[in-house]
Parts: sequence; C-alpha cells; structure tokens
Amino acid sequence: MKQADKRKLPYPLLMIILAGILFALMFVAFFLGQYQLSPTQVVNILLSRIFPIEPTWGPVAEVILFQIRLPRIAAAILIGAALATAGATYQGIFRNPMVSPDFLGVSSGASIGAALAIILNLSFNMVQLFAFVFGIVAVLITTSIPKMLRNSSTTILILSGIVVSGIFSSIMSIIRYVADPDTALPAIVFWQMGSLSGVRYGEVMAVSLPMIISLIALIGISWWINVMSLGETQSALVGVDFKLYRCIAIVASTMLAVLSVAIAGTIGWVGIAMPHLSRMLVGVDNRKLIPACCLTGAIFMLIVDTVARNLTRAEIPLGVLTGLIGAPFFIALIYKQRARIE
Amino acid sequence: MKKRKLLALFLAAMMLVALLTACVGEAPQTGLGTPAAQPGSQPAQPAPPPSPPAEDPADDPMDEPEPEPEPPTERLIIDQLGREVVVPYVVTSIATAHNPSQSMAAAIGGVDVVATGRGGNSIFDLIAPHIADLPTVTGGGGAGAFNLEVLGELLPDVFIFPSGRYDTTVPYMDMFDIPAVAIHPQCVDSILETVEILGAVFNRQEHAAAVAEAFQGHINVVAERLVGAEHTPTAVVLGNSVSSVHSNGQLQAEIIVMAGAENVAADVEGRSHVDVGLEQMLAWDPEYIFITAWGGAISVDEVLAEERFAHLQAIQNGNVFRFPSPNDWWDTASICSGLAVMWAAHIMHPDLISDEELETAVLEFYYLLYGMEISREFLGF
Repeated sequence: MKQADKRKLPYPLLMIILAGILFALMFVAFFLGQYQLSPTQVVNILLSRIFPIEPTWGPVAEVILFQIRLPRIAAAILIGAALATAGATYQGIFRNPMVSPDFLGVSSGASIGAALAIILNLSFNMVQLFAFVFGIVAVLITTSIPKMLRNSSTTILILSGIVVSGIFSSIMSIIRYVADPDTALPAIVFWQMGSLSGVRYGEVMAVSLPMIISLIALIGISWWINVMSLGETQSALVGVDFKLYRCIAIVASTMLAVLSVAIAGTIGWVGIAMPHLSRMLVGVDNRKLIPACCLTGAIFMLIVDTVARNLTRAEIPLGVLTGLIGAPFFIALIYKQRARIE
Repeated sequence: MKKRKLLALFLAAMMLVALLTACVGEAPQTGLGTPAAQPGSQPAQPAPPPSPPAEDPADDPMDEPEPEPEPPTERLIIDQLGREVVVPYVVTSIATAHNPSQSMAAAIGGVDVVATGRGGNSIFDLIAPHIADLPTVTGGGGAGAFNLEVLGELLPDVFIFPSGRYDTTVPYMDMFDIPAVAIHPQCVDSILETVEILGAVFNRQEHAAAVAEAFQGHINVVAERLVGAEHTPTAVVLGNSVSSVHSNGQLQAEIIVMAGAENVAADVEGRSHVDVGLEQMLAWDPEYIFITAWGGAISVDEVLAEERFAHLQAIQNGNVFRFPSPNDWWDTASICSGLAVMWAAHIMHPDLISDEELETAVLEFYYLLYGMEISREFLGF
C-alpha cells in the first residue's frame, strides 16, 4: 500500500493541480465561441467588472460573455461535479462500480416529465420544472418499494431501481410513439441527448445552492460512505446507522442528479467514468475520492461543453460527446486496472 | 437433482412444441386472396381489356350496332418516386397517415375523397368538420406504424404517403392491394410536381393546373417585384427554440430567400431544424426572425422578450413574425407555400407587396382550392 501511495502525487498537491486545470479551462472557455471576440476584448470585459475600464466593445459582447458563456461555464462545472460525485457516492453505498447517478430512475422520470411538457407545448422553463418533478417522483417510487416490501436491504433497493427505470422507460417509449414525428418527437430526442445551449444565469443560480449544499453534505459524510461500502452488517458492527446515512447519501445524490438532468437533459458516462478516474488518482478512500470527483467531473464536463459549442456550427448534444469520449476512456481505465479487477 | 433434470426436460419440450407450432402454421392470407407482394415490387399490371364477343358468321353486321367499348377502370400514373402505380379510373376515397399529404389531396381531389381523419387544429375544422370523426390508419408514432385492421376495413382507392416512408408503407399497402402513391412536396419545384401527380390521381388535371398556375403566380409576382428592391434584409427561420434554426434545404429557408431575404443560416446543413446556439444567433444579428408556423415551444412574445436577444436588430425593431396560418401551415409541405412567399415578401418589402394584394391573393386561392370563402380572421395572417 505504501509503495502504491508513493507512486501517486500527494493528495493536496493533486487537488491543487486539478483546481488549477479547472481554472485554466474556465479561462480558456471564455475565449472560445461562435461570436468572435479578441482575447484583449475578453480580458478587458472581464476586468471591467472589477476595475473602471473604458468600454471599447459593444453591448453584445457583454451579453456574450456574461449572459451566455458565463452561465454555461458555471452550469458545466456544477453538473460535472454533481454527476461525478453522485456516481461515486452510489458506487460506494451500493458497492457496485457500474452504478450511475440515474440508477434509481432519475433520468427515466425526468425524461418523462420533459417529454410531457414538450408534447403539451409548454415553455422551456416548464420543461425543466416537469423534468425535476418527475425525476423526484421516480426516486420516491423506487425508495417506496422497499418500504412496501418491508425489506430495506441494498439488494431490494437496487432491484427497485431497475424495475422503476424499466417501467418509466416503457412509458417514455409510449410518449415517443404518440408524439408528432415532425414537431414534438425531434424536440424530445434532442432534450434527451443533453444540452446547455440555452441555459440562463437565473437557472444556474436556482440550482447552484441546492447543488452546493448536496456536495458539501456528501463530502461531510464521506467517512460514513467508506463504512457503508463495507456492507450493512459491517457498518452495524462499527456502530454506524447504515439506513440513516444511506438515506442522506441517496437524498443528496438524487438532488444532484435530478437538478443536473432538469437543466441539461440526460448526460451519461460522467457519473460512471469520472469516479473510476478519480480512484486511479487518489485511491478508494471516499474522503479523498468525493472531493476529487468534484474536480474531475467539472473538468470533464467543461471540456465536453466547450467542444460541443465550438467544434461545428451546430451544437453537438452533450450526451453524444460524453459517450464518444467517456466510453473509450472508460475502456482504457478498465484495461489499465484489469489486473486488479481480475 | 432429478427434479431439476425433469424440469429442464419439460421446459425444453415446451419450447420445441412452440417452435414447431410456429414453423408449421400457415402463412396469413391477404384480404383479397392474392399473395402478398414483396417490398419494392412493381404493382400489378393493368388488367387486359375485356375481349370482344366472338363473332357469329350468321349475324348481319348491318343489323346490330357495334358494342360500345368498356369504360376504362384503371389509370397508370407515375408517382414522385418514379414508380408506375395503377389507380382506379375514378378515385372516390384516399387514405393517408401524413397531414400535409391529406391537405394536398383534399385541395386537389376535394374534401369528399378523404377517408381518414386527423387531429389538432386544421382548416378541416371549418371546411370539413366530419373529417375529425373519420378513422385514422396510423397506429401512432407517425412513420411506419399502421392500424392494419382499420386499413383493411377502409380499403381506400389510393393511399398517399411521403416518399421518405416508402419502406414502412408500401409493404402494408401491398398486403391489401391498395395503390400507394408517393409524393415529395419538400420544395417549391417538387410541390408543383406533387400537384400535377395528384391531379392525375384524381383525374382533375384542369383543377390541378389552375392551382399550380396560381401557386406559381404567387411566387412570380414576388420575383418580379424584387427586381426593384433596394435592400436585401437578413433573416432566419427559428425551429423549436430560440437557438434552433431551419437548416439550408428546408422549405422554410427557401421561402424567405424567395421572399427577398438573405438567409443567415444558409450554410447550416441538416435534415430539419438545427441548434446553433445563442452566440451564433447574436453573431448573425438578423433583421427579421421568422418562427415556423407550428411554432413548437416558442412564441413571438417569447422571442421578443428573450433578454439575451435584446440587441438584435430584429428584436429592437419588432421584426419577429410567425408564419401563417395557425389552421393551415403555409411554410411546411403545403400548396399554400406560394402564399407564404407573398406574405414574407409583404413583411420584408411592404412597398412591393401591399396588404390588400396579399389578402386578395390569399382569399382567392382558398376559394380556388375548396370552393368556399374562408375569412382572414380564421387564417390568421
């Protein structure tokens, strides 16, 4: 163990490096976009919020930076951190490295909510609200099944998640089947692929506080997640209230997942791949892993979103890029850790 | 262990029985007793004319008049995929699972030939309310899903479908020997072709020619007037969000160009509307923003209220418009696309196309199509 630790960078240094990479990417993301702004203009506009600088740019430039790029960068960072952290938490408490944040049916439920709102021709804000509400409903149903069965074991919870996801997926299929193929169906499909194209400053502000609180909560109970990853029996032996901390972890992770899906649609692979990458960097201790997931997830999502809005004239859905980048990356991770897995 | 072996044997036997039953069962017969055609096969050749009665040498040809030739029972037409399709000589009923196809068929063949219903707001609520109660053959989900029992019950004379749905339409029509006519009204030229084909289907070539002439006339008058236009404004057609635009090649893009605009999204490729992002919209800064008639999730007010668009010329000047009509979309695959060109030209060049001229053209055209007066209020332009 000590030899393995020697190969890794010291944890504080690693976190500083990751934070530095994130900050640098944020800065770069400000410079990139379809609207042409010179680096000097970008720097001046950003600094003008702090220092009195005579504006040599038009009002549109400020709209671009502060109403389009900034909310988008912030949303990408929050969502990446949220999905990666939620994924790491679920993988810890369910003791399954393949679990993702939508394991309890969040994505399926949110997709139904969004699809219904699209079919009803509701506004984009209502689409997000419906996605949020139905995502929560899906998780509530999933967590209610063990209570009805009077068996709150992890196995039953996993099975409940599978069943609810399956039912909601079938309902989603019905919705897509009856949707107008020329109008509603393309909108539903595009929403499901994930995008931060129209994210607003207000939306980011609305989700940032609950997301940050949830992230802090998960970091706070990271030691208990370590214990829970040993199993229910072992946790009881150590004196940890397994159900209580599992409940807290599920609530916080669900909040992270459902808020992410509500504003950006369904985005896969972040919640699976980033925890594994983080384990390679910092090990399996959740006290180090969860904060590292915040940073690695944020970095990954920021890179993906920056590519999505700059690679081609048309916006590339985020789910497409996370799959194209995340899946091979995940295979590489598995390959690298194949000896340990065997 | 013995019980498990017995159970496994039992399950295997059940599977074998099911497999044999499926394999031995007879192939389903088609409703008309003819074998089902394979997809892509040519339709049946025209039936040979009935042979004349054998001549009796004892008959005096001067005593009895020549028997009149049998009236033709079928006609051969070429659809928009280039297929030869045999349709009844007199078409009294058509079915379709595609709203634009139904609209165009009703415009050329008359509302009485429409045998299938449709949902949602449409001009049929006014001109043929009974259509809402007609059965629909679509099984849901649009492309490719048919309610075969309804189709078998209806047995329309002709089934009209968009050419892109060939693989998911023709095999089912072949099951019932229903002639399937493909149309492709996706651009101005192909709309004219569709009108001609439908005229042939319904044997109303004169009416179709009049409609085509009027349609072309709407476009020609705009083209002639634009010769003197001093300014070519920039414009874009939104899809289902404020950052989604209709790609190049879409009928909506063609309409605004024909109406005398420069389409800022001319180099955006795609099959439908494409999300280009808000930055791109700001970079383009179009003078006019059009919203497609069906609108999706956005409205004119929402676009005008979009704070990030506050500096766009179109927003500052209030030049955000939705294509008519809420009850008969002019900017989709429609015989009224020529009116859309006139309307857009009137919006962007009011000095070249007056409101009175537009109104007269619209009302006269709808009278030509449906034989009844339809108010401007209903059409909403």
